[in-house]
Amino acid sequence: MSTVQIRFAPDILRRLGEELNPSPDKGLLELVKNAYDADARKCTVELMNTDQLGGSVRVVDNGDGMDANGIERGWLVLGRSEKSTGSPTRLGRIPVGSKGLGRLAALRMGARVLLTTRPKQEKATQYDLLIDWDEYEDVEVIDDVALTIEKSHRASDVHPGTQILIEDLRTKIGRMDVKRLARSLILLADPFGDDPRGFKPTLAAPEFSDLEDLVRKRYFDDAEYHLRARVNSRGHARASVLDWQGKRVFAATHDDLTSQRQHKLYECPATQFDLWVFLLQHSTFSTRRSSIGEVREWLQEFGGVHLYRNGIKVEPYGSPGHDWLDIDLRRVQSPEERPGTNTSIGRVRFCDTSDVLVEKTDRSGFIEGEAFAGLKSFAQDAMEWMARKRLEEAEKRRASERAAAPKRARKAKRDLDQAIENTPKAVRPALQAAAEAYDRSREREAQQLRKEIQLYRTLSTAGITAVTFAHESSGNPLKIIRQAVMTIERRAKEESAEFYVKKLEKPVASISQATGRLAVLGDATLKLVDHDKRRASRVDIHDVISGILNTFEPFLRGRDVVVRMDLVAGSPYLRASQAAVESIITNLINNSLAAFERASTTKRMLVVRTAVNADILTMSILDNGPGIEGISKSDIWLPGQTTRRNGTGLGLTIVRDAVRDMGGQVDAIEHGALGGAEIFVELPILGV
Amino acid sequence: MPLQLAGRSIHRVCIIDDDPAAREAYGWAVEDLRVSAATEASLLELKTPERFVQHVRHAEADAVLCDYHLRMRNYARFDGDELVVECYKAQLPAVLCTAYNDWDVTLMRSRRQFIPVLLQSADMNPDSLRQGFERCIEEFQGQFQPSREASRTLVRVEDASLDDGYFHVVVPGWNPRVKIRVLVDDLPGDVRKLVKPGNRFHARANVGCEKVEELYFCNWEPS
Repeated sequence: MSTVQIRFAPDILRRLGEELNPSPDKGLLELVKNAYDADARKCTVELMNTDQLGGSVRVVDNGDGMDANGIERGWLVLGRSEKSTGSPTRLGRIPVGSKGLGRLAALRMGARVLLTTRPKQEKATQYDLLIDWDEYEDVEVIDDVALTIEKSHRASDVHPGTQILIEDLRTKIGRMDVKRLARSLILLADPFGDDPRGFKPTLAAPEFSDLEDLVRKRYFDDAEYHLRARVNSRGHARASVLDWQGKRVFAATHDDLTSQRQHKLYECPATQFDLWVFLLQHSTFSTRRSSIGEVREWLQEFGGVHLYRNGIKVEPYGSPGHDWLDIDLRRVQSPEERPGTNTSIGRVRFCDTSDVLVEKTDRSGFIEGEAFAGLKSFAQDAMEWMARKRLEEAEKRRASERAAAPKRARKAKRDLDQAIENTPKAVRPALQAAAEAYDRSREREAQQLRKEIQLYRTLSTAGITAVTFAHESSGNPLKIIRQAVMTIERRAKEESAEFYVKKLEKPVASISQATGRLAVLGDATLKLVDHDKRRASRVDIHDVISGILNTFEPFLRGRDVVVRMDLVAGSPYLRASQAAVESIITNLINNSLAAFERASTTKRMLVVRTAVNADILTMSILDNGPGIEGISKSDIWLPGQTTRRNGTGLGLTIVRDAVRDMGGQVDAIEHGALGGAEIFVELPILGV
Repeated sequence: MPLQLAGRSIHRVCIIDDDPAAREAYGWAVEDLRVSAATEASLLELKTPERFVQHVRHAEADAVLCDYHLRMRNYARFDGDELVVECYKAQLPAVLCTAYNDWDVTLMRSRRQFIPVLLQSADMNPDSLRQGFERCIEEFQGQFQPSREASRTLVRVEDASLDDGYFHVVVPGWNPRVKIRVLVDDLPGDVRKLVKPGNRFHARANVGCEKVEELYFCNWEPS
């Protein structure tokens, strides 16, 4: 029997180092985290000629240093988490828990690494270790390269600490890398906290000092709202929102926060979430000391929600492009009263001593297990709750503004009367007469608008009711009738095909046809309110015409209307909402149907015609009804004007308004080519 | 004599609809298949669709015919598509039958992978029902119709005004002229953030299908 070991070829160093941690800033950040674990208060990263090949990087800290055992059994060991062996440090810090792979990536950035460390425990000792990566090129396995830890004397005035010098860099560190590194270092140890004894990493580069100046500015007092949410170790959460004066405006219990997730407990460690929301409007900042531009720049650089575990930032949460709480997405989906990453800044902090959340090996965030999902849900629920409360508040504000509007108008009137009183007597009567005439015309306009609004509200309610019950009508009763008819047909045929054909076929066919006509109502109603149709997009006019006529076909057939489409060649299109184009055509068809009914027209004909001239499409709808009679041609477009008893008088108003919104115009001939009304709609199009 | 389909026997079909008259009407088609029909007066006691499968097994039904809108009349705590998915996972043949519209199709799309058959209620008859159950059983046995087999395909975002919670895509490998509506919530987080007009993703989709209501997507990935 012989004893053997698994051994690693030197190539593994490249795979674990460079390939797993491809960006230099990530690796260097790991060295800084090592300094944190060593209880350093300061750590400086110095970049020397790194904008070209062959440069050097020096990382110096004032931590507790390492003894020979620490170097051999800690620093040189790859793949073991500090956390698995480490309890809190002398300063009570919880080790960040590097597995040493990021460190390996950083160390391999150059051809050589020189480690110099002075342990706190051994006051007169310094240890040096040189790693020359070239030596690993010619050996078979990693263990074949022997490394030597040199021990030397250290003067009594030299403080403990560690220096790592990486020489002869294999790649350049670009400007963007430096900026990313500077940003990561600044945010590493929660610069927004107030702990003066905290960890202060520094980068000796101008990019860093600019950012550091910026981060120190701390514009938190300029935030309009501060969301404070906490979840305890049992999963119970609470939250409050403070205004810019620090006064509490809203408060939430666990049930309020979790109302949309069955009041479940959060399965995550005890966590604190703070979010500062800014209203970047000139009116808000007019009375503040800071300028809107300064705050915007600060948020641009540091905005987003950063995640701190045991006091140290976990990348990439909150970094540019890593909107882990979907703040911007939710804002896009429902923009009112929601912050974006450019208008808010926040931090999620939690203490995790038992590794409930585990970082991925390549340091690209946590493994997304239950604890992480719980943490994320907690923060998202808190933001959702704040958005709901702010929306409620905005609704109340709008209601009170509506109530205040008449008061404002009365005050304006008093001011006007006073101003007229102050004018010379000679001009006063003329001014008073003009003001009164203006009042009267405004009042007429307001009355008209109120009537229009009332009509629109009534019709909207009718529409909403129709949609609500469309499922009901097109769904269940029709479904039952159809199933019943099909069953009768099936069973009767099975009993006696001859009897069925003779006695039942016709009435069964009649029921089927009638059912088809009934189904149109529900289908047409639901199709009209389809969300998609209310969004502006390319609309093919001919497709819309065909679609509507197709939907209305059973209705039109039921009313004995012969429809002819006389469409120009091609597919004229424009950019508009399909709903608007549909409302024009539907209302014009409805108008013709009402005219047929009113005049008892027997051979009913409806023609939809299109023509294109340059960039204008003309669509005409002609019928052979009675034409426009009993109302002036110019009045047919006015709301409420109708010759039909019980008519709304809104159809043609909607046509006019929709056409105008699309930049077109509308006109009518009392008796057109078919004898009845002919309505022309001209619309600017984008192409054919 | 039970109905024999693709090596399985169906003795009893459980009919799920929130309207008692509709349940009875569907029952006629089931009876004409020469199998017995079981109906459920309410599913409110079942908190999740997973519980339904145990419930059906207990009722000794071996297939399900289900309506889509189950919540309107306070009949169930879930909709028919969720229920059919659970049946599919438990290898219980289930046909979803409803008077669906375009929006219903969008809402169901993320589950269509597990809904082999969606019938318009007007098309439901003993023949279409038998074919539906047969197709389910074949899929349980690993035999997929070409229209149901998914393959990796390119998906292009056409417009992404996300205000309403959805966007449109085109699948050039299926039909480059048809825009398909997709809910933002149907995408995994990393893909969701990349939804912009012109952006392309890869996804698995059943590009062999003919109608847009049959199309489903899964395994979205950034391109």
